[in-house]
Amino acid sequence: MAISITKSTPKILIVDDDLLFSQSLKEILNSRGYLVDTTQTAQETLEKLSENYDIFLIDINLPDKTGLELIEEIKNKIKPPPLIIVLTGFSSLTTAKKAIALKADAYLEKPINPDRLFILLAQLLKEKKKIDESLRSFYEIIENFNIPSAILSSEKIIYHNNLFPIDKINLKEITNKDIKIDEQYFRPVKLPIEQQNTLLFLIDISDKEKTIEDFQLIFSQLPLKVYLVKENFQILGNSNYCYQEFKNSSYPCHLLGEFCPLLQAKISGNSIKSLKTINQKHWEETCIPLKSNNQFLLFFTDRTEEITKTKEIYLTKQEWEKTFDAINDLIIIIDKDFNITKANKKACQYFGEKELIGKKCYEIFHSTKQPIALCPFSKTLRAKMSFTEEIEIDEKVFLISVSPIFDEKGDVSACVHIARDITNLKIIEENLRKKNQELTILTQQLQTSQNELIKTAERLAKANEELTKLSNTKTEFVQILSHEMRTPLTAILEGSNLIYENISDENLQKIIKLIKNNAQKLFELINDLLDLTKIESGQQELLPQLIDIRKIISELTENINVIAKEKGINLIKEIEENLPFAFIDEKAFYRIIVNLLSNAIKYSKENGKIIIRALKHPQEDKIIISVKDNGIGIPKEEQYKVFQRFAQISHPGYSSLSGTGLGLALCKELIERSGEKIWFESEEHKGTTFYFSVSCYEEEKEYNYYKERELKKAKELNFSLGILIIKKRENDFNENDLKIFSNFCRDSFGNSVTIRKIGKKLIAMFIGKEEELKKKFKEIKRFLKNTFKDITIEEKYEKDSDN
Amino acid sequence: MKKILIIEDEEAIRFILEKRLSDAGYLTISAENGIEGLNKARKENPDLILLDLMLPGIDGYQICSMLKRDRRYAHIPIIILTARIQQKDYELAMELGADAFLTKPFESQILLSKIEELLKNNKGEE
Repeated sequence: MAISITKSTPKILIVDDDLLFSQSLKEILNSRGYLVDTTQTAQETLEKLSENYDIFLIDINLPDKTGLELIEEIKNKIKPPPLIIVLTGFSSLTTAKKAIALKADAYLEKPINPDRLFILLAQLLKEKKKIDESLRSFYEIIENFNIPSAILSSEKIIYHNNLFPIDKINLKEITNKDIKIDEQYFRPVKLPIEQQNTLLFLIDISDKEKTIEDFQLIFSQLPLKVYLVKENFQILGNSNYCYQEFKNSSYPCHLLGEFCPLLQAKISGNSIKSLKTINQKHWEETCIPLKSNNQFLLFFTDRTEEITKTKEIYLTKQEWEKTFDAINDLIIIIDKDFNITKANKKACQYFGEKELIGKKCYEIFHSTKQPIALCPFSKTLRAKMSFTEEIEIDEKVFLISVSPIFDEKGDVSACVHIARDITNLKIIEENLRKKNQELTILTQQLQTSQNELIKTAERLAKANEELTKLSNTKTEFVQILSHEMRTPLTAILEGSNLIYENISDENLQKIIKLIKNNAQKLFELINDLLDLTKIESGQQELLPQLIDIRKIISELTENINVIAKEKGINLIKEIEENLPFAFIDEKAFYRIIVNLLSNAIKYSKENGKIIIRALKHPQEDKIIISVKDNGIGIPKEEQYKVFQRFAQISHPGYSSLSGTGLGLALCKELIERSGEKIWFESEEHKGTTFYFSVSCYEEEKEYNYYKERELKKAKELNFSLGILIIKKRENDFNENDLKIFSNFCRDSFGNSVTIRKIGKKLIAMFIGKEEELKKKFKEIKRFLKNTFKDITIEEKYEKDSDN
Repeated sequence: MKKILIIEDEEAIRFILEKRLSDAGYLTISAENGIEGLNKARKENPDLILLDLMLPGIDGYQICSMLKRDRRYAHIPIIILTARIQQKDYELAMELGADAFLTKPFESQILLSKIEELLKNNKGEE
């Protein structure tokens, strides 16, 4: 008998009495490269078996024999058996199933779907090829054995020799026990071979004729290590004892306390299997007693690969189980019949069960006898998709998530049921929600507060506006008052002067003098009040400029000397030689000096001495001016009042002396607004010295001061500042030039122009948009070049520098 | 004897000025409002005018402006004597051609020296 081996181009025989069907099927298969023959009867088929077909497509209903009978015959005659696929109509499906259960490899329902056929063929061929290749040598070997032998694959006989009683054997009965066939006892010997297949021998243990040497001969053909060992541990065909051979030991194992498989087999009379590890290789030692238990078949199978794999799998499995148990969620796998097939530790703990496997899920979850239709698991089963729900049980909140596990056909075979305790999360969520609510309320409150603030701000703005109005009214009032009082005061003052000069009565003279002094005081008060109001209201801006202190002090002292002399006071000025020019508002400076001097005169005694000094500060860029008197001084406890408005300083013993109360306050205001300082030294009965500082003049300083001032204004308007610096090449600009230029600029550009003569240069600063300024500058330059010959003009633009 | 025109609506001041100036040896003529002042300035041909700014009828600025723009009277020195002490008043008056600007209350000494100075200058120019 030939041994059929799958060829590269598989040959197919279609056995069917329906010619039309077999013909069309043949064409379809031909198109895929299969070699196809057809037969119509069983007889015809059997005659063609020698053609070595790889695949038989057999109709279950044949005219001469049933398909089942034919299959049996084919299987017996062709070894290894070819692939047999049963073709069946719908009505005979049960038969087809039966056929498969026994012999056939697959079945196909008519009408045949060619795609399914091709897939099936490809699959079967692939499997067959694999088996054929690995088992080829075994097929040949057992064919020559004179003991019944078969090759099993997955507990199915895929090949057997002629001696094998295939009809009389039920594979399921073959365990380690002897089997009885036709009054004869056979001892089954299973030898594992490649690809998880098994060699099965049935050894007739009652056959006394067959010697151990025969077995030795038989098994020596196998590509396996098979030893035959005698009762006394001696290995057949080898002078060694088994313990020497396998254990490298001089004594039988049992003497060393090991109950070896051979001994076990001898005692039990059954096959014994055990694992041995020799040189890091795992061997499966199988010991099968033969011949009335005095001979033993001992063979080794290398299981290293499998054991390593199994170990790995075991380890992986263990790890997986550990992980599974370590997960804090309740994980339960439930099959489609509501049986729990797996549950992690957490789940078991939760339900208070040692093991959940095998129980019905609804019994565990819902304590019912029937599944609940609306539970997530039922829904998942029906809808074949995941469901997630939040469920509250015993004051705990669980997030239940059920996901389907699909089988190959795409049906749901089981579900993973995960329950996560989200009670804490829910509490946090609730807290967050509350916090959020509180926040919302807070925000609303804030909004309300903000609205109130806005209203308040509006009210404040309104109040401020009214205050400004009031302040303006006050300023206006003071101005009108001062103006209206001047004329009558002039009349009083000059009138009393006239009377004083023209009468001789001393008593009347004294009265007139008192009137005059009081009128004078009133006049000073008006002036101070007016000045303070102007400065405070911003009406009078301080415009610092170059001033010659020496000149101003000389002029002033000349005027004031008239008054001083009346009181017999000696006014002395001490001004440093080469005193630098100062940088301060001229009028302010006048006012400060006048107020300090008149103050000094007021508090000087008859024939007193007042010294006005101006010195350059030795280190700083300042000039220090002092006014010193040797008058009555200020009592220590009154000194803090000196610069207060309307402060009445009491001078014991000089009750008639009182100032307007505004003079020094005005001085302080003027000095501080100029960025300077005022201070004093005083000792009662000895005199007082007032000091104040003034910055030294530099052209740079004046230029920067006005540039910064204009830049600030420009910034407020979001405009640029354009600067023209005009220089005459030869002589200087005079006041008239300045006037001409100022008039031209004012006429053309209004008040957004500041023009100053700084040193030899004329500086003009314009506020406006840069492009417009550039246009204007062209015009101005034309004017300048026409008016003044021989000049240079520098043009600059400044944006706010913020620093 | 130099003739000085006093244009002043306040009787007390007018009287004091008349007295002061006549004591100092000047001849004084007075006017108590703008129109009278302007007429007298044109008719009497004074050597100097003391002019108040706030006047009924035509105010001091207008008088100053009219006289100074008139060639026949432009040479007459004008001293502004006012209770208005703001810078802009000073600037405007100077621009209109006033020769001096004194604020009330004034020191008679200073007024007299200013008058003397202006009359001397004017004489020199003539």
